[in-house]
Amino acid sequence: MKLLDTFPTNKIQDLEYCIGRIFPFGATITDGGVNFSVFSKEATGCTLVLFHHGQSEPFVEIPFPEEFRIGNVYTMMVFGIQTETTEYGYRFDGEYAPERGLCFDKSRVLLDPYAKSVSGRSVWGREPDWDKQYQHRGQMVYEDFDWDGDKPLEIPPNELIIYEMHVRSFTENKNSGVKFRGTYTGITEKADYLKELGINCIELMPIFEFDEFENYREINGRRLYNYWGYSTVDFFAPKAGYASMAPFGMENDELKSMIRKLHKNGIEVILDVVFNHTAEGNENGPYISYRGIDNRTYYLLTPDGYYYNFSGCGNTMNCNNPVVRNVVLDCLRYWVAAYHVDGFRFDLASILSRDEDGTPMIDPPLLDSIAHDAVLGKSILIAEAWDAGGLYQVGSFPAFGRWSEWNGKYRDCVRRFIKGGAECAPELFWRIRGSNDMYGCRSSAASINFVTCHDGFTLYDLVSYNEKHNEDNGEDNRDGSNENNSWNCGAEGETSDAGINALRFRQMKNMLTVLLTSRGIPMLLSGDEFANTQWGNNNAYCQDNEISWLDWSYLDKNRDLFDYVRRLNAFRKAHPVLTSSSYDFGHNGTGYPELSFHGTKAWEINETAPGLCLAYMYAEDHVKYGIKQDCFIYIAVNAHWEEHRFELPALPGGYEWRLAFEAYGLSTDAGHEKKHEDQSCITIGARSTAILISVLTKDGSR
Amino acid sequence: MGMLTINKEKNGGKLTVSLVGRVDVMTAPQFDEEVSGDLDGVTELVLNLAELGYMSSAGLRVLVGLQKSMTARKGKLTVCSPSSNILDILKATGLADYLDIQE
Repeated sequence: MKLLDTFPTNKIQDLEYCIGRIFPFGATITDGGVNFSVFSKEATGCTLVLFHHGQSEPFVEIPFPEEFRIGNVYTMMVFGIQTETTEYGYRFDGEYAPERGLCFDKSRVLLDPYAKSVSGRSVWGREPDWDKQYQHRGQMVYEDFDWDGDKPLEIPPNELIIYEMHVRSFTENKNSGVKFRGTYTGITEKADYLKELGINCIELMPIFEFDEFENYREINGRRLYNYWGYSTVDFFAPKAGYASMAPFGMENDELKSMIRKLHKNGIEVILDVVFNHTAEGNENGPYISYRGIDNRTYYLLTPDGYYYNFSGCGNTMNCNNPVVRNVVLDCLRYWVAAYHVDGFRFDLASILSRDEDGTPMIDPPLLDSIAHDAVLGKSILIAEAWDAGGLYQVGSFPAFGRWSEWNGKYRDCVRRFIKGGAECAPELFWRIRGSNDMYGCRSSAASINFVTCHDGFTLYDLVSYNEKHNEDNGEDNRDGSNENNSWNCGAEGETSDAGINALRFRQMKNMLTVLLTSRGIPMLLSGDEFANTQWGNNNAYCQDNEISWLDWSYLDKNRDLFDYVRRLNAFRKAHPVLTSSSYDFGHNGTGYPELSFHGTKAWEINETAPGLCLAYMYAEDHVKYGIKQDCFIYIAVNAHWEEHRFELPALPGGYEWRLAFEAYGLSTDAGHEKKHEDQSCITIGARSTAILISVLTKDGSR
Repeated sequence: MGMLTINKEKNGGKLTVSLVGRVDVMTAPQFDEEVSGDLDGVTELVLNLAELGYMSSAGLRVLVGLQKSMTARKGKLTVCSPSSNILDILKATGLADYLDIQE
């Protein structure tokens, strides 16, 4: 039956049209037509502009008749559009008075803020035609993907092991072994690898459409791009250049297919999202979309029309304006509903707590709305709880009972302790416990624990470089953090010294051991599991080359490290006491404290004193955690440059200690741990860690 | 814009369909109607793509629809001889995992 609101009333060339439907915003393929709906509060008129794919000049322009506007929304349904070969945009008419923040310019064609697909950068790194006036063009997509029963996995957040990665870096290297290098499909092809590694969540660095040619330059013959993509062109469209099928307009299908495949392998997908600013930059930036549609709605502006720059990137999104807030919510809901995304990590999330003057709010409505949204109700929400305007909210981010945070304190503490910072010991107890000093009224799942992330050194570089080496970025090594808490173990960079290399691998294992046995949600950086290097570059934001691309040859060379991480991941997942979101530390059904700390003498440690030797023991209560029998897990950490004997806590009768991991070179699969000869103590070598696990032998069960 | 020629051969419960040209948003409805409309009594549907040059998003949707139709009637769909670029599309969009493809 033909719906009554799809009878055309107007005609231009071969296209018939009529008033459209307000919702949803964007361009939506309907039966027989396409429904367009776009907001502008201060425009005086709007025109729909349609192009044949890639053409400089539009083939038709359809001004919205005044009777097609309802409130501040222009809406129109058009029939006869060839959806696969048509690009669309809008012209907005209105006042041009930049000193008052008004930037209307009818001569420009602008991207729909709700476009679900964007052409113009469909092939990564292909130099655009800069003479083309409308660079980033909206396209129409089908929303009827066959999910085959898939939905977001809803793994309890405390059980996650997150793996942060860049789509292109992950498989662009020729030795990645995949067919579709550097793409969403490349990740799909690596699903078995990710499953073997044992992570259960990937966090993708930005995949909203961005322009790799923003701030493009060539230094010493090297092409430097906006490689990381922390600069959004369109919040509703996947980065087309990451899709092998984008030239055929199928980037959406490709990304959805990737997510479906990962979900089938028990792996969630969360997105690193950038709502704090856009690619339009400051007064000198390009007209892409928002600036020409409703500048005063979308951006925080000074009284004389300049852009506030709390993001450090030229402009700041006006996130707590009710219209922009709805855009953000619509965007997040869309990615969950249309792509089955499992959650989000919000870049510079503290900006989202600023009001329209830039003042931080106590109960920011946007963060509240996201936390209580119906569609996002089971999505994990992670904040990078600071911004470039000086707001630092780690531990105090307005969480509304939902938000987790990247715990920068965890990173700094573990790094400093493992390299020999005795003064960090008192803090490390808190970090291992799940940072209850910071999140005590919430849960340990509020703490995203990490040692490395895309920002800063890789794990290997953290133990191989004292100083950053960012000369290739063309900024005289001024960019990137100077506060790395790194230690090169005796030589800067690559060395043939076997002792130094062995120490580096121990140090990596030491940090991973602590990370994967702490309460909170651990996050790994992709490639760290096989000691990938960026040769000391700690800010590879512009490097689309071997600096950023994972070198998979290290996987063969460093198989031992990979196995160590793989087994640590499996170990963590096998022991719910490690992943508990609670702050239960007291005595449980085992008769032991659930989490206890020890020195080289069992049960003896001064938690307020500096030190380099510490141990901790989890007592896993079989009733509480629904496992077959009680289990004890003892982790010894020796950050000292000399070996130490650690006295082991006595186990209940019938149990014996077995050695599961030892950073000098032992890792075992579950059930293959060897009995530790001396049940009363263990010698931990210089700068090393070990994990022992109890096994009940009395009844011969293992 | 696409041109598509559809050759059909019915042999008992087996319908073999050869596609020549392109399946895109223009020709996908034709592909759908001609095949879906001829599935009565068909338990085995074979799509020969040897001479198909291109398949767009709309075409993939018809393919998925046919797969669902055949599954619903407890029949079987086989895709034969796709060119390497069509095979790439089927792989990158995940359809290769769901379709019986004979290269």
